[in-house]
Amino acid sequence: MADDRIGVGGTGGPVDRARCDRPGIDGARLDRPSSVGSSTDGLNTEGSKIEGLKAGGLNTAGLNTDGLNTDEQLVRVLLQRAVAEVQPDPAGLHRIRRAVPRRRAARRGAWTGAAALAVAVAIALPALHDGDHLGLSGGPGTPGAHGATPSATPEGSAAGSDVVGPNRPPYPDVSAATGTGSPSGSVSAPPHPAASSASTGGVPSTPVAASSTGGGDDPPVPLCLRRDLGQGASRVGAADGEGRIYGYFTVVNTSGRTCRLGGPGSVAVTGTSGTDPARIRVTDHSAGDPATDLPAPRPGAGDGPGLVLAPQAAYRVEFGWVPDGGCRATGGVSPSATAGQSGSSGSGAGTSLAMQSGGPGGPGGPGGSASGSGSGSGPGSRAVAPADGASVAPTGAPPASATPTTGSTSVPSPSATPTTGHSAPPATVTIAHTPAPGSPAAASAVLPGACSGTVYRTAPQPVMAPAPTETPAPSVSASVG
Amino acid sequence: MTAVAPGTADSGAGTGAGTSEDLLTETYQAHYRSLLRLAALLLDDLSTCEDVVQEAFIRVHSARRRVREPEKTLAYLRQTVVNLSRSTLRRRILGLRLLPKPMPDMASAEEGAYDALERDQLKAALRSLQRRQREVLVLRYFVDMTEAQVAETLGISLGSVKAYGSRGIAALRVQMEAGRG
Repeated sequence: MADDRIGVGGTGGPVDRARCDRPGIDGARLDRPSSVGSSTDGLNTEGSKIEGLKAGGLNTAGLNTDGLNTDEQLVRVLLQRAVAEVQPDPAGLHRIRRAVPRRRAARRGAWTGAAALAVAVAIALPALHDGDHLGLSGGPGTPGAHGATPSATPEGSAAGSDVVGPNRPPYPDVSAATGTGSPSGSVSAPPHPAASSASTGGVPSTPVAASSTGGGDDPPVPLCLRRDLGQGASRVGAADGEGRIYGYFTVVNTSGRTCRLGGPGSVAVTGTSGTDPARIRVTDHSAGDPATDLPAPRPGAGDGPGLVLAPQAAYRVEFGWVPDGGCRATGGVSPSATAGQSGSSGSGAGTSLAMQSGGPGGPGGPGGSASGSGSGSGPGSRAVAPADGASVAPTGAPPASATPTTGSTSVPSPSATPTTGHSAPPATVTIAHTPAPGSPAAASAVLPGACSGTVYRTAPQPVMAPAPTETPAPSVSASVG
Repeated sequence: MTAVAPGTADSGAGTGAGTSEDLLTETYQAHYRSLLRLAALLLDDLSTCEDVVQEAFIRVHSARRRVREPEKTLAYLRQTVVNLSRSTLRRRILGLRLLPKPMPDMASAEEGAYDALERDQLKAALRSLQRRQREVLVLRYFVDMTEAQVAETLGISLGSVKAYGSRGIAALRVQMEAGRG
């Protein structure tokens, strides 16, 4: 090719350019074949051959000769002559005819495949993206991910400030996987749990924050864990003339840190004696309900940020029992109970407390509890007996105070025992308060003489100084017996 | 000889109606031979030329949109043949350099030995040209395109077409002289 260019630049170039500029002259020359040989310096022999070609049958008049000079005409003739014998393969049309539909199908298939691939990618990419958040790809990814996981997990549990322990491990996993290598992953992972627990937007704290009513208004204060809140206490007052009983639960932040209450917690019926649990309702206190002695609910108290508890600070959930007044049948043992009440008043310290709380005028409530303790062998007394009851079997007493911790709906031994002692059913209801973080219940209270009615409860309210009569001991929780 | 003259655009212009099968047949009968010869000038191996032209037919007719414009069908076919020849040469360029393929001699009995010799000479000269020069010469003088059409088909400027054409003719002359001498 290089020598071709040399040839072009050397000999042929100027000549051709001169001819191309004068097509008319060249066209005139075309009619005189002899001039081809004479005018071209290097194509003399070619010119004679062109004459031979034309004499051989090439019709120059039929060619499209407008504007072409002699060399161009020569090239044209030569080109056409060079391939004049090229004949198509007779099977060509058949082959094309078969191949065209196949090619169309292939094109359709390619488009369909591309569309399907695009759809698959569109679906799979977000799924894979979410999978990263779930830590699915973080685990076996790199050695760095494996190296960072053990170093991050003890850090999170030892700090004591993590909100949800079990949900923690996947998260440092992801952070380590997104890191570059094992050194940076292990270094960057330890600060991460503290940072994520402090921020409400962290993935592990999301379930707790979602269950609480006041989610992210106060980010720096962590949510209270159940172990931050110690064993609570309860106080049950005396029934008034209409049988209403008021009381409250008190729960203290026994941890050394300030925490935020995630929610109002729950007040639930954990056990009944002598009555049907379905007849006891627990509702939130609202203005205008029959529990008039309860403090008026603060508007929006349940919607705002949770109560912030400083160390040793307590909150109080007040409740009020309003009987329906339709259960005289089960409470009909009151006359005999009053007798038993007096007789059993000295049986234990717990029962003496019960006398002062149960009080006079109770529609059978005090009678029920008193008769149980008086008989001694009555199974119903076990449900309400104080922990230090002397006349009661020691194994029977603890379940009354301990069973509320197991759950709100399950009714253990207290519910079973009344069926045996049906002759004197002590209609009592045990309610328990479970703080917002969850079980176990912090405190339980026994409503004497409650067989059918409604428990109205308030939202947690801060308590500046716990009442001296209350001690956060489990024994007080069963003070009403 | 007039029967083998390169097909012009108006020969396929009137075939707008009809199914694609008929259109394919008409296009084939009208243009296949000239396209095959065009490929034969751009390539050397006749079987490769057949493959290239058939591939061009298949491509153009697979895309129905192209076939629906009969006046452009021939242009599409030519363009495809040129592109396919070019890519074929590119693909083979290593193998050709290392192992030159002998030209299949397609001389028929009625052609004299002199013509066959001259034809081989021209083909050898064509092959020695630059690819662009060869393409311009073939399209310009064999297909009888105007320079603007050549420029459009090859995707180069009009000035480049003129330059390639003039240098190609000069180089061809040099080659033919060298072959003769």
